[in-house]
Amino acid sequence: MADASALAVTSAVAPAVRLAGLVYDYPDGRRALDGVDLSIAAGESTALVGPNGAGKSTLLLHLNGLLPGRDGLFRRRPPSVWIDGLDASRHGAEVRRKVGLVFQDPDDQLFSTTVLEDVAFGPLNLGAAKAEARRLALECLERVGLADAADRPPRHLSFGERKRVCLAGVLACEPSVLVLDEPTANLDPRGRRRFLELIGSLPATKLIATHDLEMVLEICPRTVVLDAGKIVADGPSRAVLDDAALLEAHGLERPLSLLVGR
Amino acid sequence: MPSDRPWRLDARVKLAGAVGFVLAVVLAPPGSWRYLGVLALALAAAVVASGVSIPRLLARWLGFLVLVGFLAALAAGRVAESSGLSWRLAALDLVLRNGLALMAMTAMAQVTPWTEMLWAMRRLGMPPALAATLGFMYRYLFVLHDELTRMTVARRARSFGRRGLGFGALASLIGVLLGRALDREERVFAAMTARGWDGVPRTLDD
Amino acid sequence: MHIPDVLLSGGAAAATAAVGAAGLAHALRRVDRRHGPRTTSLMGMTAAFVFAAQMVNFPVGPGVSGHLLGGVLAAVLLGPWAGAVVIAAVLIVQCFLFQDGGVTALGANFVNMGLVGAVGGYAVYEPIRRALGGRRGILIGSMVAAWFSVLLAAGAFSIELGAGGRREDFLRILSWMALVHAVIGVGEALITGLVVRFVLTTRPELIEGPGAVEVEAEPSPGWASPVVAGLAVALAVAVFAAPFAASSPDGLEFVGEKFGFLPDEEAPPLVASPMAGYEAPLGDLGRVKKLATAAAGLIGTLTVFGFAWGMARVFAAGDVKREALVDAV
Repeated sequence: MADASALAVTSAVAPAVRLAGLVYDYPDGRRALDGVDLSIAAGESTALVGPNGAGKSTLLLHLNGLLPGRDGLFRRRPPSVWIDGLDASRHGAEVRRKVGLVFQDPDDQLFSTTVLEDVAFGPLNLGAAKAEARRLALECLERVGLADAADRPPRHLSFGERKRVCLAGVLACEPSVLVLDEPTANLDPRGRRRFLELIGSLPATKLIATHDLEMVLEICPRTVVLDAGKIVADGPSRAVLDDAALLEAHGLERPLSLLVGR
Repeated sequence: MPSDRPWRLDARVKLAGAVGFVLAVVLAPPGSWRYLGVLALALAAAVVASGVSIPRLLARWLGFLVLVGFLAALAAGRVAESSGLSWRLAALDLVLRNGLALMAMTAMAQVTPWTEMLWAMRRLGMPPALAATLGFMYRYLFVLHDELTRMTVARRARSFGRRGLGFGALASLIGVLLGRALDREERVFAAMTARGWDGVPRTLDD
Repeated sequence: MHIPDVLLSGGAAAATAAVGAAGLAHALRRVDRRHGPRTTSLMGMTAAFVFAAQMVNFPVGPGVSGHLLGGVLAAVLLGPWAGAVVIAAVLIVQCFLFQDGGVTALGANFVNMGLVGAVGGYAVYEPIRRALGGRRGILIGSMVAAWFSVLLAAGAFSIELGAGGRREDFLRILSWMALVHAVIGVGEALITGLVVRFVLTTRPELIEGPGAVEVEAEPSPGWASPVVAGLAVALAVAVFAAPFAASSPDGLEFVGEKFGFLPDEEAPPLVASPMAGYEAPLGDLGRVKKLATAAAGLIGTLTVFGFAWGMARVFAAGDVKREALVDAV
């Protein structure tokens, strides 16, 4: 916790992501997030780890204003999420523009009939002209190495390729904060390696929810542990992930690379 | 941008051509055999030129023949009365004309991928909201079909050689699929909203 | 059953296309007002679901299988107009991709299955659900509505197919369509009921929605409204169901006349009406027979209605073991 506040103070401008006392209940009344405080500086790469059901995905959905308040179920609460200093509950559109969310299952995110249409979806909705959206989409497909798949339907791509198209679709919105939910889940080793290199090469502020602790060691200097809707640890990844007692208490295991020596 | 994609212009021509052909068949007065013969020749020429598989075309026609025959038998009385044909010729006329229309649509569908057809429909005046829904539906049709297949295999694997699944099991399969489909819709809608979706379909074309 | 091209008269095709287009435009507006930006994903996904669900074949007998049609199911889940839009999407894909249903009959097919089937089915469902209340109301309502939606769609189909022809031709079409679809309707009611029961047991929130608690708490408005609604529809159905219900439809006679090479100059109907045997010109006696036919039709319809109702109640009564259902996952 001390680390988090220190980081917040050192950045002169508003932190890229700030959560203060974030509370959220599932529609059935169970508590999902129980007072989360978190501050992420611009350009920082942070991992969000914790057991299944800890509230990771719910937390991510809050970052671009998707929760709470869908279906008109608004509940009046004091603001608790800020992106670049903007209150997410009041500046939904701008916040969504700043935060790019990559979902776990690419089929949840690739809803257009062709790859190019899908990547251009964000820019078109954010007001880009058609020619500009096309150019941007092709450029982002190039960045993820799938320019030649532009006219194919998403279902003809492999899982790893679909995952990269999702990333391209989010990058095309030019977000300053990139939020990834289980980016390496279900990827084969080569697909995982390729996706990690891709993520690592992006300059945006990153928050990555994952069970892949090896990946965390590789690309996230900082790790936050979430359990039962609360942050239970926050610090440099190597320190947090080497704390066997802490990890075991929260359903995690020390990554192999730390066990066999660094 | 039809200029850099000649096949897209084609999709409109193909769609309008097929529907126009069907209209020509439908509007033909019953018993105008010579006219139908000309149309059949035109269709045959188009089929040969486009390289559509003729056996598949005939198979599709035969597949619908029982249903069409039954309905033609029911409707023949009306046609016979208005045209002066005998009821048998009227029924034959209905079956033949339906065959021509069906094969024209089948040939068109075989050489026009759905994404192009959808694009053509939009350009030919389909409301964008409906076109967007159809595109979305087609996209998730395969996802749901795969899920259904996986569930069926899982069920079979646990039924240990007993005969096919019963009514209850099949219905519960559909019920599970429904739950998964609506859960997925929630996630997809979140993903769409995250990328600025406001309910207005926007595409790269036109 | 999807109407193929050519079988409708030009007038019927044009009229149903106009009605269908207007109905679809209205349905799209209503859905958009209710679901806003969510319309596309909700309608698209539900249409994909209905399409996929239609691929599940239910064994009926050797070589015969049936499948869900889904209009009432969609309407129960999302409301009548959304149900119509979903059916429209399914019909368009079936027409253009699989040639199931003619492109010039698209309007008629949408009128039958979307407007009459889903919206009309919902009109049967809603009063029953409200009167019975709770999950029993949802289950029984959806099953009865499913049966009616199929039969009403068949009735609309008959009108379209027979439009412009003689009355006898129309009655023959009606009686055959009603006969076939009364049976198909039982299958639809059964499958719809099983699916709805499963969803109510495992994922009730999908059907009951956020307003469900209030609905349950409301005092039920009594039995008057469903009985009236039910009887009204039953009577409407009886009018066209009469011919089939009255005669024991003679399959052999039908086949014989179809393949029997009757003399052409007599221009006999290719398919004899199942009530043909009752059409003897017997003067007063004939009129009595016609009355008896109508009465028998009414009784027949009510019997099937009662059967569907009873079946639904049996369904509702049996408490499903969760275990068995979770097994399906």
